[in-house]
Amino acid sequence: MKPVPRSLSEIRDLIKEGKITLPNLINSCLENIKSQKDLNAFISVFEKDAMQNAEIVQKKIIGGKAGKLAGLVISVKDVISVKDRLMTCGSKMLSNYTAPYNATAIERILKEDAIIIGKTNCDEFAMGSSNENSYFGAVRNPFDSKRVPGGSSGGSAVSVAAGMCTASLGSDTGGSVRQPASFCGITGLKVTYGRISRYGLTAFASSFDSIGILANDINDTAEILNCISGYDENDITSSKKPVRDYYKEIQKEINPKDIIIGYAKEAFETGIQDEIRETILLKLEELSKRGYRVKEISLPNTDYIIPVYYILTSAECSSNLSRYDGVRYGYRAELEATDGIEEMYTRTRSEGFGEEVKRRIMLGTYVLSSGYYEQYYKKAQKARQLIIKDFGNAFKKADYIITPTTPTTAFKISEKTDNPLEMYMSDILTVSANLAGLPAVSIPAGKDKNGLPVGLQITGKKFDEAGILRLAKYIL
Amino acid sequence: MTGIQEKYLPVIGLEIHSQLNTNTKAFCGCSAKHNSPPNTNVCPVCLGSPGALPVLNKKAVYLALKAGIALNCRINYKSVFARKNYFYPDLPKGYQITQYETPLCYDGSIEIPVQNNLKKRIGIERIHIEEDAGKSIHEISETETLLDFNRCGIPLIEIVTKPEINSPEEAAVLAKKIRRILTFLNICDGNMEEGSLRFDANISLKHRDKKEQYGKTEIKNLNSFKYLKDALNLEIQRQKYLIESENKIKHNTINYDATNKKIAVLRTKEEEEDYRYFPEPDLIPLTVTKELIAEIKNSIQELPEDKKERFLIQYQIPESKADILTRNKMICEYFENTINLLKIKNTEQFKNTANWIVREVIRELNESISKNIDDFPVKPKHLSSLLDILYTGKINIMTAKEVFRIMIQAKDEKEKDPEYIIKSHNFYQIQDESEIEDIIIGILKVYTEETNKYRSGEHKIEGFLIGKIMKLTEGRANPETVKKILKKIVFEVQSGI
Repeated sequence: MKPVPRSLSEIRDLIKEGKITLPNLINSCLENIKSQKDLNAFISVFEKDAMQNAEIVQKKIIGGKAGKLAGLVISVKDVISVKDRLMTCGSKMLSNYTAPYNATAIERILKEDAIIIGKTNCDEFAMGSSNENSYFGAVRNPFDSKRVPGGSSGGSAVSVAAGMCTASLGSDTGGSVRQPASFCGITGLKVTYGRISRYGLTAFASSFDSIGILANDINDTAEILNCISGYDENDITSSKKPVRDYYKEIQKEINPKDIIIGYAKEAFETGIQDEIRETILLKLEELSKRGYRVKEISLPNTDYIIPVYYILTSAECSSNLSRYDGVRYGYRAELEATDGIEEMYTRTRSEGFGEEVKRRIMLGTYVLSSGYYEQYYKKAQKARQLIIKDFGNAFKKADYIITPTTPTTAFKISEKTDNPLEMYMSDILTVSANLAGLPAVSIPAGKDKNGLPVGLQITGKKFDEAGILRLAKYIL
Repeated sequence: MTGIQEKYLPVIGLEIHSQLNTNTKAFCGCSAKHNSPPNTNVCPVCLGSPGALPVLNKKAVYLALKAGIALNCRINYKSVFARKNYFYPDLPKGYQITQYETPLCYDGSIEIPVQNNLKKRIGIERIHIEEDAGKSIHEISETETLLDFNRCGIPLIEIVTKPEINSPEEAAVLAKKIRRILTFLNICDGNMEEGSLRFDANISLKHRDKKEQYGKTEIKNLNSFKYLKDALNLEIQRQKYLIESENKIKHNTINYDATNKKIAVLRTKEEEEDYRYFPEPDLIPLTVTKELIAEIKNSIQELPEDKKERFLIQYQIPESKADILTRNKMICEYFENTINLLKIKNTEQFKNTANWIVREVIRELNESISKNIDDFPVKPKHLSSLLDILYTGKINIMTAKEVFRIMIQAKDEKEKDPEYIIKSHNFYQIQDESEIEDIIIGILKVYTEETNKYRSGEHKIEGFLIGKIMKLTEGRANPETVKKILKKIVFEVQSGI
């Protein structure tokens, strides 16, 4: 593997000192993509364009006229629209689909001179926790290629961890940025619902989805967040709250005594790998020693998290994925002359979607059906309110909540594919932030005995991205 | 048949789909114009491209509220959009954005005239905002269905009445009245041929004595008042037949075939899809303020029916004219502005004004490109002055029409002034009778043969002679005066001509 600088500031320094050029850097990234093809991180690579843009941005940097993200090499999860590029969503259904416009987040990073190197592999329509549900094959973990990288933004996490780029934009509906970041030993931020425009992010579950940032360096996370967050008139659910200068915010000193860290005992109970529990408890102890106040808080409705999450996200996904019908774009089954519209729909959708996606569409269709709507969807909405309330109460006592990001470190490929429920449980610690619309970040906290990364998750109050990133920087 | 009609009382409710008069679509910036080339008014949002999100058109909300207020509805200050899920090729997202549990307006009412000068109040259940679907075109190809998504996403309101209509005639009267309100307030263009306004009707029969209510059916997609009435009449006959022959009335959807004047059962409701409604997560709840509602109330003031009543009393104009003048708010305003500017204000002048606008202005308007009275070159100021001049007899009606045509063509303000036109064209009527006499004598000398025929009783020659005289005076003589003098010269004076 070619060495690649870990952070934007490093890249900028090296360029200024004349030690590297941006085209050199792109070359190294491209070589790393090629030499690690077995990891299967990318679905499309923009070799030519990335190189051309590198030359343009290099000149801008030298001329002192470059944007805030100049020097950054970014990969984009293949569920986010990049104009005139394939956007497959990891699905056969969209394997031939070209996006007609740029997502707002893409517009914003391009305006700041980031270079997009390609689109990364992911679980089909971002549904999965292992990146095994991709039409383009499983993605492999760079720490152990027999293991999964996590999902659904597995390709994004691997691309950053394996020196194929400096940062990546992913999407997080129930942990899809944080869990793979944790499995691959990098930083993964999921923002407050509405902080980053969803315009151009292929919808999985609209009231849960958010674009997330995967990076090696938390300063880069903050800088990217500066550029892409903020109100967008194309997404009415995006927030008008002013954007803080996250980069500046996280450079500020913290007075540990001002901060109360919540310790949610439910998150350390059954099902958590011992080494993870120990690693995170050790971190909490360290923090306490440094003067932070660590306080036990309770999230009493933890048992409902997984069922509520799967009922609501499946309901929304069943409707969001109705548009893939073979009529206007994407895959259409080959039909006999005698086949009617029913056959076209049935065959197109049966052949175009993978097993997990179909499972969730069926589950979602069921919970929205008349007679079951009240029993499942409405009840789950009520339970969602209870979970939000739990967090409200917890944040009256604490400023941040620290938990492990995942119950286990990266598991083996195929280990959980036959047991969807067990697979769903790997999201147990991450989905609550999506249920409650809260910001959360996963940072590397150590390694288990197999040398696999362990992730620590900090969850904060709504719109306190600055706070969680500052604490994360401190812990790192 | 009348016997049976008395036995059963029809119970009818209407669902009125009305496209809203907005420039752009309900949830994107695409043009809402009709008759554009297929698939030219489309974008990622209305085509349902992955990642595209809806943004609500405020004008649509404004117009929907206007309809709600005009129909005496209560307003939900916070209403919620919902997704209605079903698969259809012209529905790109696989769901329609509509309102379900919490509509924008509810619990309104409207009065319609019934027999014996009585009025009947019909309840409005709800009015909600939704988006239109695209169009499937089956006629062009035998093997393929073509799709045009231009209509897809155009904002609609659905007005749902309570089932309080008791005859097809009442249904048609109500539909007409609602159309009039919607077009008058510029909420909808009311064009039923183009589908801007269309009706669904649900109907059941009730036994008058036994009070038993039989099964209900729904007639879909009626786009004329006549079809509405005809389809309901046919369906009443069908239901009666079923009841009399002791068959159950199934919850069917009925299609009306206007060409063959027949109804056909499309499908039973039991076979219908489950729409799996749930709140639209891509839109935040719609909130409206009291200020906005007050503003809209203020802007409505008088509805067409009230205006018409007032015109009849205040200006004493005939009902047929009042009817035409109150079809469009801007024409109403034009009429009243002209009246206000008249120097001579009496009922005769009011009638003249009404006649002139109905006969001349509206006719010109229909032939113009814009069809909008605001763009009409002759403003109330000049029209009122023309009507005043006409009233004083300084010009005759033929000349007035000529002046009016000149006013339409005129380039600047001064040239539009009828006073100026009359002067510069020397249009004033010849007041001096001796001057007319001289002209008549001159004409009679030229047409001696005709004069003799006329004198010997060939009455039809009169028109010919008057025509010649009018031509010579360039229309400036009063035809009545000409006739009077002509008769006097030919029959009384015997001046040896």
